Amino acid sequence: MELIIILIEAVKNGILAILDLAVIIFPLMIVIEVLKDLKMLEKLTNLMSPLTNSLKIHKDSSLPLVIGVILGLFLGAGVLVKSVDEGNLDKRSLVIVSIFLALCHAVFEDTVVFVPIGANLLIVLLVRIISAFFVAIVASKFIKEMN
Amino acid sequence: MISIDTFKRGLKKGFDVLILLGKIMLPIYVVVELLKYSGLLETISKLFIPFMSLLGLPGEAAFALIIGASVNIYAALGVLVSINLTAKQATIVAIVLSIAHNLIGETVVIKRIGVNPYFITGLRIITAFSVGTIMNLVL
Repeated sequence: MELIIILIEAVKNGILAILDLAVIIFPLMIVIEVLKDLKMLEKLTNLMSPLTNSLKIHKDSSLPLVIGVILGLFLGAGVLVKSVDEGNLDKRSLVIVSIFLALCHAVFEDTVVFVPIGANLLIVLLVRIISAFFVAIVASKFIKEMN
Repeated sequence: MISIDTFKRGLKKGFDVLILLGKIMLPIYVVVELLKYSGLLETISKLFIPFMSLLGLPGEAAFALIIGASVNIYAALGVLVSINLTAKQATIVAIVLSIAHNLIGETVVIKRIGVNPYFITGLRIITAFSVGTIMNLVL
């Protein structure tokens, strides 16, 4: 009996989380399309070129990186899958972007939550970003061309 | 230029992504919820108590790290607020959790992208633990 209650609760929470996501996804994807048509995404790509160049990944990795770092892994992954479907991203870039985003995503939300325990937020944020960058750079050195 | 087509494309892609994420999120919620109630996490966390000294954390923090790693940061915070932590310990536990959390759910997402999820998850755990240990020495 208790198990059924837990399952119902889990499904309910899951549906609520998906609805929460829907509220962000539709405006986000529309804004991305608008920015694309205004040729504004290229500016973002240029802005992110120091990161994509140092990781030696495709410049189209910029959008999923920005979305993931700010809005979280799920949305970053959604945009990433779309980029792959549209044929812009090579496998090597995909792996390196995944590594960076897995370590470093939703940086504001994931940092601010630690206010209640009295963590030093600036240190948490910086150490996380530097760690992700370091691991991604090392991965970039080791991962050669992939198919 | 922007046309009605721009918005149509946005809506269509939004719908695609929502379906994609929805299909993975629902099972994750069920699995994680079952795991939380199974008591398995408490048992696993006991194995990690000896390693807490490397991070400069009290043994109780092991449960917070395990619940954070398998459920999410919010669940870990529920445990952490009941433990007395120094400012340094709070910062270290936050760094470790910010790098390695919600691993079950986020691993499924990585798998869907088409990247080896075990590799990425292993990398997150190793990075979190190494960086935590380094910070214990540095801070």
